[in-house]
Amino acid sequence: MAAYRFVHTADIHLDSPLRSLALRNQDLAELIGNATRQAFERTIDLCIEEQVDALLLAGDLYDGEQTSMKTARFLAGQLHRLGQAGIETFIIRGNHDAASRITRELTFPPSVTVFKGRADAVPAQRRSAGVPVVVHGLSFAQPHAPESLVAKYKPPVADALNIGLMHTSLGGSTEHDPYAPCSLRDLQGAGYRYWALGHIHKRSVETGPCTVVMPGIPQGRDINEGGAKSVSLVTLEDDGSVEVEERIVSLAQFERVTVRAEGIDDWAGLAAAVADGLRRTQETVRSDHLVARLRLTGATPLAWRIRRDLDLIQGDAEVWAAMAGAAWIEKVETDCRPPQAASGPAADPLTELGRLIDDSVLPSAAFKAEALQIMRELQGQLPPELRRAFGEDQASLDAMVEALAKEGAADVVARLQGTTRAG
Amino acid sequence: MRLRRLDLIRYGHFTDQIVDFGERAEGRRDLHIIYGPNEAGKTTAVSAYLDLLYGIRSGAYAFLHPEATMRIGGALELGGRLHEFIRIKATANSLLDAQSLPIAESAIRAELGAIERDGYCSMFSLDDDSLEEGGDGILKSQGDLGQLLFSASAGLSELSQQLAKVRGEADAFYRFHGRQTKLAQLKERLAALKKERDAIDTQASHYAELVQTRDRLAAQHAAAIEARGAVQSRRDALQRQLLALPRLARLRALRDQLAPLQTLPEAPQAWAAALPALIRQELTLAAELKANARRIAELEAALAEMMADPAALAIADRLEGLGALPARHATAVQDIPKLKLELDEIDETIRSVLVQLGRRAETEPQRLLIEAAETGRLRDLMETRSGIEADRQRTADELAQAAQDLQQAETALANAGGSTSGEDARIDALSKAAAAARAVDHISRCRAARRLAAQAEATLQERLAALRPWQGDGTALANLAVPGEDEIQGWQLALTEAQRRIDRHAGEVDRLGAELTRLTAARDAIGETTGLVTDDAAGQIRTAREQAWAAHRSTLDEVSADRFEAALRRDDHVTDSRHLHATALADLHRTSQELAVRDAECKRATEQRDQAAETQRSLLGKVASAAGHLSLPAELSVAQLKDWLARRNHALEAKRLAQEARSALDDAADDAALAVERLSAALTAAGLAMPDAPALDALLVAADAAIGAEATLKHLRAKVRDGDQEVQRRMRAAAQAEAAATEWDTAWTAACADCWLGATGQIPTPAAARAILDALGQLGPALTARASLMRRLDSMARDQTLFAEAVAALADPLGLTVTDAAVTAKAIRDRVKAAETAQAKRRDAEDALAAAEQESQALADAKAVLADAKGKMTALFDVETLEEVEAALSALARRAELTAQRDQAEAEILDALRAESIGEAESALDAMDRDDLLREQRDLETRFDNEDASCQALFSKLSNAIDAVEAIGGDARAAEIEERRRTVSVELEDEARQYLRLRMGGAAAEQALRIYRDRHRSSMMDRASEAFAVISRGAYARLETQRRKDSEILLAITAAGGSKEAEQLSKGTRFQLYLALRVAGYHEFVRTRTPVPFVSDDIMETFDDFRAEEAFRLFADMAAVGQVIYLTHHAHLCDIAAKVCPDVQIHVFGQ
Repeated sequence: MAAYRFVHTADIHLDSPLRSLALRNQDLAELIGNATRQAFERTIDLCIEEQVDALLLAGDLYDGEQTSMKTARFLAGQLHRLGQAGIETFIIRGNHDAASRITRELTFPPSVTVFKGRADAVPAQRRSAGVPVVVHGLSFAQPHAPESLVAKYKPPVADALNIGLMHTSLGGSTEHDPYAPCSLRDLQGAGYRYWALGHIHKRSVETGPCTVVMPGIPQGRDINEGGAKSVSLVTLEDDGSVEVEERIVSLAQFERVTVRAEGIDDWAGLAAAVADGLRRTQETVRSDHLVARLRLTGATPLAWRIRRDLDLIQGDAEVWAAMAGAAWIEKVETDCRPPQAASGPAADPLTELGRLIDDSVLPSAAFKAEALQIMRELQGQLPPELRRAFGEDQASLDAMVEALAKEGAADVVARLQGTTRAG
Repeated sequence: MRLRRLDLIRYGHFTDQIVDFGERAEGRRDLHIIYGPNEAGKTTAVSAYLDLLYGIRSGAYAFLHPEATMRIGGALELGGRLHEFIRIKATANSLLDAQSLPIAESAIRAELGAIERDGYCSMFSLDDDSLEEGGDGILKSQGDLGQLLFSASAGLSELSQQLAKVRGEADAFYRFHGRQTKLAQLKERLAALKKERDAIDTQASHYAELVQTRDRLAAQHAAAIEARGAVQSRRDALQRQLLALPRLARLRALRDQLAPLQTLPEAPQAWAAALPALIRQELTLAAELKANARRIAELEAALAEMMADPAALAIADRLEGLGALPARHATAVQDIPKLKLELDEIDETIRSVLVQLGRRAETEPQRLLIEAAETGRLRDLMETRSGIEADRQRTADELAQAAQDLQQAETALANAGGSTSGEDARIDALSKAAAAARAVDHISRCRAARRLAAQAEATLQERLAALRPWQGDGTALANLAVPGEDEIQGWQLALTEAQRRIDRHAGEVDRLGAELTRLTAARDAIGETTGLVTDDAAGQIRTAREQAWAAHRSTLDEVSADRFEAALRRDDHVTDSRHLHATALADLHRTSQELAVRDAECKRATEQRDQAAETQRSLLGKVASAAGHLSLPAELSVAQLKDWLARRNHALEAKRLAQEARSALDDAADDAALAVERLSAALTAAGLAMPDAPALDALLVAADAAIGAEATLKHLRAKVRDGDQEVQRRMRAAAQAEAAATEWDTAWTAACADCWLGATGQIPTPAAARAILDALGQLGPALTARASLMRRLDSMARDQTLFAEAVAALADPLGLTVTDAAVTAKAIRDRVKAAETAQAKRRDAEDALAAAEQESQALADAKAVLADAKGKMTALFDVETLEEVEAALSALARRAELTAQRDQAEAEILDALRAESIGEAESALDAMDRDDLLREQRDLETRFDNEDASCQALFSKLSNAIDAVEAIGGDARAAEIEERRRTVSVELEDEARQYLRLRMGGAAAEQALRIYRDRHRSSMMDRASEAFAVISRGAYARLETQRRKDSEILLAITAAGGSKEAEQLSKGTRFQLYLALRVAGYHEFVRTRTPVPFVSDDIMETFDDFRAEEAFRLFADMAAVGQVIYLTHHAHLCDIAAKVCPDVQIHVFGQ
């Protein structure tokens, strides 16, 4: 039976830089630099290797504030490759694209269809003869779309396979502003066979009479976009059955690695647990590189030492990663605590000091004022792009100050602990 | 918690080493010194103690016992009860109870609270290094009281350094007005990267302009190219027309040449190629036909002359049938004489054998042969014969020798006076008694016991003498009633305590006395300088005023009025004065109050001192009474009394040893007497004469002689018994050999009788029989050879007869006469061979003739085919010969060539003029003028050059425009820089976060230290102050504090009253201050918690003896509230400790 096959992706965010401390390592920066570009090249390669009929791009080709024509030229070059291979491209603009000027200046090869601000339905070319395929799409020229767009799409073409492209935040995501919100039920009621969505960076697939796919970002850019990122390779049979395959294109994969130090009481044991945790994670990694953020948790007698010597742990982890290959350590964090959460009388002066800090110093108005002063002084010195990094408003600023002071106090107590007592 | 006992079962280099700290006696100080040389394992023991509490740490102390077998035991007093624990090396359940069952860690940890191992080390142990670091810490803290109290309690010496480091790290990132900070560097990098990016990046607006320019130039360029193309095509047409004009002339010439050739008929294409071969074939065929006819005539002539021999050919088959017969005939003629000679030789051999056997006349030698089985049986018997004979001889010889040996042994026994019968059991008994007597060994035992007794007695006397002035013997000494050791220890402790109290209270009295004097002076001074009166005086004046008023009121006269006025004025004056000097008055009040307090304290101190003195007197009375009871001088001190009692114990020990030595001597004498009695009895029983002196030695000599004689006889009797047994055995062997010989003779006779050897009735000897058998060995083969020769001779004679008959039968048809069969046979063979040769030659000639006739026919056929082909060609051109045909074909080829040239010329002209037909083209060309054409061509060249230059200029511009658009490219350079910029930004954010943590954490810690200071100041300062005065031996009187900004500074007050800040103290004094603070920290801990053992490792190496004494005094104070363990390898420190604290217990290591 003949089938219409296409690759569906969205939220390419071409040339949007990765955000990780691990990139301070020049080797890694060279390996996974421009990862969004490389992931896009791999997507194009996939289309050509699989000899698909089309590539569907459901919005957000690049970041909104981006004005570099180099990015646009790269995109055009890649789509030109597809055109030469006889593969069509269907594009709708997302919220970021709408704000970007380079979209307007760019000329695409004839194999590319860019949907305009009015809903349109375009018959697709097929490599194999069969049931006609129609692609529906709608781009928005404004960066905001507070209302549902489903009703504006054209009705499905009878006796054809209808595919819809839409950039939408669905029921509303916490990580993004609402953009063309709509419900899954609205989409399923539109009468299309496949909805190719974009906007939310996490992958989700809904099957049924209408397959609805949010492919997720093809290359995670920081630890909050963790996990293996991919595109969807879709096979639409003439009888209407749909097969969706996930294909990894991401170069690097961000992962949080949590290591339980519970009960570990020697440094060698801790190093082994860290290596074990990293190894387990690496075994699950499907991208080329693992970029790990390590977090140590649990009650252990080493809690203070861990806090004080995080740099040593990071060193060990980096040595492990260098030997394992294709693994990199972004940062090491701890929230380990000593085993007996000292409940009795304050026998140990250091414990007493810690409790004084927690119970008397941190909550005091005087200290809060001093901490806020320290924060404000620094904020005044930061470059503009970072001024809001420590809080958007007074409430979040206060929360940040409180958290930093608590962590900082624990750091300092750990250092006191660690001097003569480390032996 | 208290450590009662530490068992180093398997740990470090220890095996089953136990350190027992004993029970803590009420009222005694719990101070222990572990003394041992370097490397004795003191540090190992401390580590073991910590491992017992917290678990065995990997690696460190596994050098003798592997980790898996390491084991530490111990008894800990927890919550007032004693618990036994065992610690092993295991990942879980490493703490065991006394029954080696796992027990929860909380069994120990509950009492330690949140103190981890490291915390224990810093809080409850002290060594040289930590003392030194502590001293440095004081300097670095700049006397900050909070930090000092905290670091002394926690045992953390680098507190201030760490706080400074935290601050330093934060400052490295950002400092107000700091220029070289990390923050500044990162910001610079961000700016630089932005600049770099802007330089290479292209913005969208600029891109739009570039595209527009490019598109405009592309259109202009296309138009210019079109114009240039039009000029070029006209120029090309002119060029072609100019070339076509000469071609027309040539075309017309070709047409003229073709005209005469048009009449020739067309011939098939293949003729021209085939013609030369046909001409050649015609000639060859004629020659070959002639040669073949001549050869046939020659062969027919030869056949007519050939002859044949049919008779000889007829017998050829039969001659072959003779087969091997002629050869066998020839062999027989040669061999028969030789075989007859061999037969004669064999007959001679047979005759000679018969002579050897003595059977000359035997006509049938065959009969004499003996069967192989019989021969074998005879030979077997002959071989066994010699062995049987030798056995018989040997056994007889051995029997004779055995009989002779027996006789000699019997003679020797008779000579020794013994008989062959029975042994003597009594001698056995005697032998056992002698051995028992020797085992007693009484002589050396007696000697040793006597020596010991004498020594012990001497020692006893010496030690009794050492007890003077007491006098008496050992028994009297043992019976003395003496005071118990505990009682004396009690007196000693109480006396020391009393003396200490006296000293302390006396000192207090002195100090308070001086204070009283000072305060009185101060109070008086206030009064004197201001004219103030004291409250008492003021009260008196007020009372006087009231009294005067009362008096005046009752009398109301002048005198009372004056008096009242005077009293009133005085009171007013005093009140005014007191109002005026309110501050001084407050001082006066305070001084007076203090004076009252000090006075009360002074009195209390005096009372306490006197009470202590009274206690001391009462104790000394008890000691004197005890001494008197022992007839010792009453002024004896407790130590001397203790010493006398120790000497008494020594004397009693000597007495016990003397007693033991005397008992040993008696035992030895008793054993000797018993041995003599038993040995005498044994000698008598054996019927032996008793020696003259019945001493044990003599008795042993007699017994040995009797035992020796009996041993010799026993040996001889055994020899006779053995000889008799040997003779019996040899006799049996001789009889067996004789029987074997008889058996052989019988078998031989029977064997000979079974063949012709015994037929004569006379049995041959084995030797004769062997000779006969050897001769018979030759006879058999000779007879066999003779029979074979006879058969061969018969066969040869038969072959000769058959051959002669066959030759005669063949000779007859050929008409030959037989003389010698062999000669005739050769003649017949020659005749047949000649006939066969002639027959073969004839057949060859006949074959050659047939072949020649066949070839003749083939040549005739070929000639016919040729004639047919030739006919077709000559007919077409109407000629006779093939040569004429050749000329016609050549003319045809010429016509074809000219036609082709004409067609090409026409095609070229059509192409040049782009015309439809040649006629049209010819008329067009005829109308053209060559000169006109050349003129037009020159004009066009100029126009084309102009158009081309315009095209090139536009193309260059367009290329540049395209390059400008392409130069933007899709490369990742800008994105790479942006990514680097993002990384720097992330780094900056992370570092900023770290900065904030350090700054806020540092601030929190400093505030917490201030609260800590205020919480612990009062309780710790008194104790530290007191300890500092002690350890500085009074050089410093006390510690005080002074507020400075928001911190509080520690001051040391010298004996002379001056104050010094921490940095003004000498290094040694800072150590002392740190030690004092640590002591206070320990007391502070004990104030709120159950005590924990304090372990200190040789901190006094650099102390002089006086300082060490004071240090031990501090430890003794700590030992009053908790267990203190001090490790040292200095023996003199043990003495100092014992002097300062008699309760100290010393545990010696490494012995």
